[in-house]
Amino acid sequence: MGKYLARRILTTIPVLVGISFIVFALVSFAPGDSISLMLSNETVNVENVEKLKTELGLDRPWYIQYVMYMEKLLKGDMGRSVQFSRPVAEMIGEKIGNTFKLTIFSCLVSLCIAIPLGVLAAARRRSVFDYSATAIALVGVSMPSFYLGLLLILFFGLKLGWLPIRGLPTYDSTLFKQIRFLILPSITLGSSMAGILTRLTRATMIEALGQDFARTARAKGQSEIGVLFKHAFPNAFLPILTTFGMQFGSLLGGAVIIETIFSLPGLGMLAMNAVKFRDLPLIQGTVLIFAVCFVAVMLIVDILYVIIDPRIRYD
Amino acid sequence: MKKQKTKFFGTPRLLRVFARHKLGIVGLIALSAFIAIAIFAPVLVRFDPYTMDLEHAFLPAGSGGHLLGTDNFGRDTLSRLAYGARISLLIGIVVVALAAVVGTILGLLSGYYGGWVDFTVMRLVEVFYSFPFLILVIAVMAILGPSIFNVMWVLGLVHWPSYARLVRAQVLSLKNIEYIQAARTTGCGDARILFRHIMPNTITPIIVQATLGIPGAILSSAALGFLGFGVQQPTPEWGSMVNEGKDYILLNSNMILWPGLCIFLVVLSFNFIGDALRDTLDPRLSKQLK
Repeated sequence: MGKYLARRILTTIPVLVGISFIVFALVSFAPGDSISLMLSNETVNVENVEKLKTELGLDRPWYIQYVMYMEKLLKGDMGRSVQFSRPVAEMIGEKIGNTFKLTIFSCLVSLCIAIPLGVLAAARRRSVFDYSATAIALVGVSMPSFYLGLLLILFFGLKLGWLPIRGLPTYDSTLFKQIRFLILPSITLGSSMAGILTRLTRATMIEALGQDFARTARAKGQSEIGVLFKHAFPNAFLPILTTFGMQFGSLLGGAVIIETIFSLPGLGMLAMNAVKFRDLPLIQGTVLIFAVCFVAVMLIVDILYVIIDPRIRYD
Repeated sequence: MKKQKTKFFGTPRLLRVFARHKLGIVGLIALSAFIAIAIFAPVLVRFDPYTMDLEHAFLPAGSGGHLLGTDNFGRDTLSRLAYGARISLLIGIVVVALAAVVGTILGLLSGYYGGWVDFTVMRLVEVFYSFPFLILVIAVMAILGPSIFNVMWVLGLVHWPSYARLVRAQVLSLKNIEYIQAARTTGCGDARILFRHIMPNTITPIIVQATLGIPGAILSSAALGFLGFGVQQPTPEWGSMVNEGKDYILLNSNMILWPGLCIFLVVLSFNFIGDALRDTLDPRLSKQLK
């Protein structure tokens, strides 16, 4: 197990290097001059431009620039935001917590819908549960998240006035209050994952229930609930976990949209802000952090995999 | 290759299997309707989608001959929706075609040659998989500037890895089968083996993947349009129409309801068709789920 873990962790290194290179290339090979953008507010003279270029190493070849970028990155220095002239790392640190809250809540929402519904659908084929599982799955994957978000705002926020639709309360407010603000965004963000996972839970449960071990369990007198949750579900769980990990990426991507709609001050809104103002260091920083979060989640999923199912040994 | 095609699509049995999927048929009909609307948009609608008429902005549905009302600039909503169908369908198809071609070629090379080619392609796939792709696309669009052309190639380039993985797996299982060896002993070159003997056998899963990929591409391009980094106004694109409408959500909710519904319906019909196709072409799976 230790050997597998070490190898799995090592394989993330080339991926992280690739990510850092793409993030670096994104800005370095971009058309347009980032210097003139940075100096746009000051009086631009040739001397200033040359001085800043040497300072930032922009007069060197790109591979040297990449090494310089990596050196700084490994020290935790992600450059300074052009727009706010503050360290990017610091700004990301302030916002990342809200994005975590949003994604974790969305995961909870989608799992709470997907797993019970998928299991029920598989256990009672062609019942109300089965049809509603199929419907939720199809609507979940086909609905544009920004559309669902606006519909929820319109009906539950504006027409009925049940739930808040903008922003987040401060950190010191009660948990209940914070949760109230997160309900609509989390449903919006989690809906597509809920659709995909409901469908997958149903399919894998049906497969597991058709296997010999499920029949044996029934034959020895195990109750139907026991067959479902003790025998079938543990076997169906691994593919659900894998897909959950892979879908987490689109959840992070979706956070950009959801945070924009609901004005949640998180990483996604920071990224959108950076992109609107062409704040290159901030764009680089946010894209990098999003990708690193995703890699970390995939790594955790793979590690959980081995812990949950000891039969698995990758060679 | 022609023979292969008739084998997959020409047999009445497969058509019958597909026809058994009621939702697949519904999807097919709905999609045909959208395609017809896209093609015949100039004939079907009464108003020009670009003509502004500020005196008649925010008209409710039905008034002044505007069946679905008008938007904040007094442009006819129905016309804009009809023309928008062209944009969304075009983007969906071009993006998937681009991704499938790039992915298939890289997957074929990677699976067939193995070694460093395989290593490089697979590491690239992993790197691309580890970006939450919408974020990467937004960043690239911000730097390159938003335009319909940029939307298509950037989304296409982001979506190739799943095709490469799929094709590579197929090639690995095929390349040591006897008929490939027979082809090699008769003196076929690598290119001929790859494109005449191996590729036709990977077409079925690619078609299924592509049909299920188009709705994803349409959703992402609509999301880009909504965020303001996709197709730009005044071009009638559904995502950017919702974006415009969100500022008037209480005043005139029609502005978001209709374009959003169109995106939803097109994506839903592609998903119906894709599911039916997969069950038709992959009977092992469909038997299990029946």
